[in-house]
Amino acid sequence: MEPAQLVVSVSDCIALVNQTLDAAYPALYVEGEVASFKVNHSNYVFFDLKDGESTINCFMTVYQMRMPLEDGMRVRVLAVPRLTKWGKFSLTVKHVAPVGEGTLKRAYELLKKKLAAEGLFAQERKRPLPHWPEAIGVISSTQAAGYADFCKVTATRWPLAQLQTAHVRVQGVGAANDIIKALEHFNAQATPPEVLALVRGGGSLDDLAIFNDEHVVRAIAASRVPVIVGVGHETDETLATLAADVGASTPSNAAELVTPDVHEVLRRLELTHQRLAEGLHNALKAQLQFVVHQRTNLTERLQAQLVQLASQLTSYRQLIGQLHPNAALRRGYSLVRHNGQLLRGGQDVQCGDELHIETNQAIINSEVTHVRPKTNQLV
Amino acid sequence: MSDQKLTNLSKQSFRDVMRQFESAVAAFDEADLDVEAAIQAYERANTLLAELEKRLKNAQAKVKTITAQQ
Repeated sequence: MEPAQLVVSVSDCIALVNQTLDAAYPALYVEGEVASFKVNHSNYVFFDLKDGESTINCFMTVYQMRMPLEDGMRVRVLAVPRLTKWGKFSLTVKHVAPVGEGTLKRAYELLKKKLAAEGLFAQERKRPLPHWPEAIGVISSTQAAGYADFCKVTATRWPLAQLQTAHVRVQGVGAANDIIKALEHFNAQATPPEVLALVRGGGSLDDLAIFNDEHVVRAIAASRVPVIVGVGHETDETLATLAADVGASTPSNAAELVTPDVHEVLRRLELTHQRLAEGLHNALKAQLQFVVHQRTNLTERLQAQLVQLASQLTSYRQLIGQLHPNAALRRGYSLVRHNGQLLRGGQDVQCGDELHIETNQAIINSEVTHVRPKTNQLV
Repeated sequence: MSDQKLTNLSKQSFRDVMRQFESAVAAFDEADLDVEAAIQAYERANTLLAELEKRLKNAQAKVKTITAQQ
C-alpha cells in the first residue's frame, strides 16, 4: 500500500509524527528570544521562543527553570519537539540557559533580588569557619587550576588539615547537578568535614553561570556544614558567593581564609608561653615580697610589744619599790614590834611591855608606860 | 580536667588540645590563684603547649618539604 493511501486516526497521526520526531530529533538546542512568558498554577511554565520570522511554543515545569525568565531574554533551550494531542507543535524544555551578557546579567539581577528577599544572603545566617580545621571538603574540578591553587595554599599554610575532594564539572550542562550532589554527599556523612570549599578559577559570565544557578545557590544555603565559595577573579561576585557562609575572591583567597598560618600559630603560642612564664615569675615574686613584708611587720610588732612590756615592768618595779616598808621608813615612819610581831592596833600592849621601834636609821628598845585608845582611827 | 586526659594528648585532635590549653591559660590568668594552684596551672599549660608545638613543628617541616619540591 502506498503511503498516500495509509489511513490513520487523528491520534495515531499525532503519535506517528511524534515517533518520527523522537527518532530524528530526540533533543534539540534551540536559541531564541522569550516572549509571552507565564507560569500556571505555580508549577507549569509556558513561553514562546521566537526569532525574526518564526515562533515556537515552549513548555516546562517550574523546577526545571534554573534561572528567572522574562520576556525579551535571549535563551538557549535543550528541548524535545512534540505535537500535542491538540495538534499543536511545541518544545518540551529540559534545560534553559541564558545567552549573551545582557541576558545573563538580567537573570542574575532578577534571581539575586528574589533570593535576597527570601533572606538567603542575610548576614545573620552566616556561620564562622572553624579555627583549626582538620578535615576540609573540596568541591571542584581536579583538573582545574583553581583546585590546584587551593590545595597548594592549604598545604603550605596548614598541613594538619586533610582534604576530601569531590570532583565535579564546574561549567556547562550537568555541572550544577554535580555540585548539588557533592554538597549533599558531604552533608550526608555521619562525620562530615568541618568546612566545605567550592572553588574554581576565573572565566566568562557564561562560564560562571552555574554559580548563579538557583538550585546550586539554595543547596549552598541549606548546607549544614559551613561553606566557603571562592570562584573566579576578584571582581566576580556570584550568587553562590553571596549565599555562602564566607565568600572569597579567588580559590587561593578561599584557602587563606579557611586555614590559619602554621608559623603564625606557633609564634602566638610561643608568646603565650613567655607570658605564662613571666606571669608565674611575677606571682612568685609578689608572694615572696608579701612574706618578707609580713616578717618585717611581725618583727616590728614584736619589738613594740617588748618595749611596752619593759615599760610596764619598770612601772611595776617602781610601784613595788614604793610599797616596800623601807620606803615608809625613809619617809619618817617607824615600825613597832611587840613580842617580835609588828604592832598594828595596840590593844594587847600593857604597861611595862617591851617594844622595839625600827626607824630608817636605828632600832630603839623602849618600855610601855601608858596606853590610851586613839579617838580618830584609820580603817 | 583529669591527668588521664593529659596522658592521652597524642590521640586527641589539635582543636581539643588547643582548647584545653586556652582553658589552662584562662585559669592561670584568673585572680586569687594561690602559689600551688598557679604552679599546677602553669605545669598543665606547659604540657599542653609541648604537644601543640610538637605538632606544629612537624607541620612546619612538611611545609618546608612541600616548598622545596615546588
